[in-house]
Amino acid sequence: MNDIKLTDSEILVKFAVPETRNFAFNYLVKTYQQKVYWHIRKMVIDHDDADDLTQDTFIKVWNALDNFKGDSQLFTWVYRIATNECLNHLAKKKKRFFLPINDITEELSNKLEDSDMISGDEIQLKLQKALLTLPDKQRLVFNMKYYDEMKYEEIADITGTSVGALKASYHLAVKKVEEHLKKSEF
Amino acid sequence: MKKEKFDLENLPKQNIFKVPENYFENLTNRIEAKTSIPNNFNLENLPKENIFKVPESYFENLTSRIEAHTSAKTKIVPLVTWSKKRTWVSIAACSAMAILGYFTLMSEQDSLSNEALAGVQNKEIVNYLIQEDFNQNDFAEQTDFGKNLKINDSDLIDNLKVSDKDILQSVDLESVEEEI
Repeated sequence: MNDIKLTDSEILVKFAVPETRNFAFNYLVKTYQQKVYWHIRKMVIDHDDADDLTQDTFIKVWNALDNFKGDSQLFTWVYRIATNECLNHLAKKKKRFFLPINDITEELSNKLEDSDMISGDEIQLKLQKALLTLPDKQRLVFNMKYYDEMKYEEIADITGTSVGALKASYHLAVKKVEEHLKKSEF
Repeated sequence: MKKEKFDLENLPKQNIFKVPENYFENLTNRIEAKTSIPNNFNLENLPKENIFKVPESYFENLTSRIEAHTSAKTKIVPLVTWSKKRTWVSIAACSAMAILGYFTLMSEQDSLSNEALAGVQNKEIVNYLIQEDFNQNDFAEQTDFGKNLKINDSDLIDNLKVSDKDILQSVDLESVEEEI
């Protein structure tokens, strides 16, 4: 992890100077790579997909950082790019294979069971499967609130949704997941 | 010394193993959490766990792999920047060149140039004119020279540069006398 602590504005200043551009980007990647990866991985389940999307996210950050106006925190801006990458990836996957939503859910659910890159208690696996039954955006909100423990205001900044709508979405997601788990058989 | 006989039946049954305090009170909950969903299941009571794994040293190499992509895409600052005025001047210049080129090529296509005829031998031109039954008057009518200048018979005879003697030899005198 980085020993030097830089603020968002310091990163941006260094990125704007050709001599310190690579240093600033390296710092930014090291600071946010794990958060971005796990954010994506929880959505796409598969490690290779998450790896590709994480790299794509940071390449887009590199290309667009000059245009970042600083009207939000740098990490929420990076999260927003990662979120769009996830949602686009899932949407493309549905289109590419002409599959209804349930089949995508099944495909991801099978990955949860078969992948050697997953290990956990039965109940945790069940929880992940239950989450796959949620619509993508609701699953996204659930992950950011439940796992990442982000504030609604931050999630609102990333998703462009109002705080009230996010609260309702999360509440509904929790209820759905709990009901799904209660009904599921072991 | 007499050795005492070990009698299992007479040995009081005693559990020498110890468990942590309140172990059994929480055990049911912990087993349920791992194997089944209780009716009063609540997400808040479930420990948050990350079940996803990554390959060994994945994050250590991730930064360098991303930088390998971005360093290849280092932006090259153009020496000449975009200018609205310069763009319009370029468009106007290109248009002028296109119009000029169009009219030049069209006019060249309409007529045979001197250069094109230079390679043809005079003998071949004469043969062609005889074959096509061209006479001097037809040629004069086809050309601008003939249209602008009125040529009469005496001028034509002058242009031929033939002596009076030669003309008299070639003319049938009897037929001339009849016409007179």
